[in-house]
Amino acid sequence: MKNIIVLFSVLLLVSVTLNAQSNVNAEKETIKKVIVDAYVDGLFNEGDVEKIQKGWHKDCDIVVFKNNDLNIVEAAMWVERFKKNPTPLFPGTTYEFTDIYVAGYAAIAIVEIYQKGKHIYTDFMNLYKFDDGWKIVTKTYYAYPKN
Amino acid sequence: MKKVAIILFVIFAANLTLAQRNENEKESIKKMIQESYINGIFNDGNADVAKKGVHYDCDIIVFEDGKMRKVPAYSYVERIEENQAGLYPGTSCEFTDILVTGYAAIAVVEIYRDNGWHNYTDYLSLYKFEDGWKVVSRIAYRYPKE
Repeated sequence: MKNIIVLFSVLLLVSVTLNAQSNVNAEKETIKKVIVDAYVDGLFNEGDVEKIQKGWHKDCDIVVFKNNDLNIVEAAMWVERFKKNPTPLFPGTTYEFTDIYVAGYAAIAIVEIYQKGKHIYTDFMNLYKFDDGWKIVTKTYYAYPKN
Repeated sequence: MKKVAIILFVIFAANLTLAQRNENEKESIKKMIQESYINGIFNDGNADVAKKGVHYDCDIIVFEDGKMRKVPAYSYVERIEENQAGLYPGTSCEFTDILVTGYAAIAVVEIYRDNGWHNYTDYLSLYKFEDGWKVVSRIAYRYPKE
């Protein structure tokens, strides 16, 4: 009898762990889609305002490192830019996800951006999960030397 | 054949140097977070130490009731400057991961309180300034109180 209880306890624990892992993996896939839609396609490949608005929080800041100082740029500027001029920034942009970390309603995604086969940025996207889905709330990045 | 061996050795040595440099940066980031953030802000309440690791324009992006709001990190520095006390003595941390690319990095840090409560998973965004790594943005998941 004791053995059966131990066996069921172990099975229950394995089932809970697998379920939690499966949920995290599902969240990671959702986050990937948000970033591809709102960032890679929204800005670079298509210039789609709706996609941009869906994935970037309206108060999101892009924290730029320039000349040993910070320059805070509101991501909302992209919405205005693409409303006036829907030309995408760089069609043919491709990407790779290096890693995604999820803890509850908070996540970070590390994304490598390539243009014309060159490695352009490593992006660190910070996201929260709102009632209507994951949204980018801040972004920092490393820009690779152009040569 | 000899030339190929030399080239392979040079590539291997260069990779080893880069990997070592990356490890050194990770250690610098860990030290800064432990000293400026965990000790400076939470444990000791030392504003001068805290300022070394937190950029003046750093915002803490708080998520509450399904909404986000920005709180200047320096508002906490000003609080400890006034009170001369740590915000939460007995705080400790564990580093889940640190990713460094050039002058940019992300640190995933677990924050624990003295009663063992796993309070936050912090995602700290950092840049490397001339005077060292500084936190430039923070988001976090707050665990329910045990």
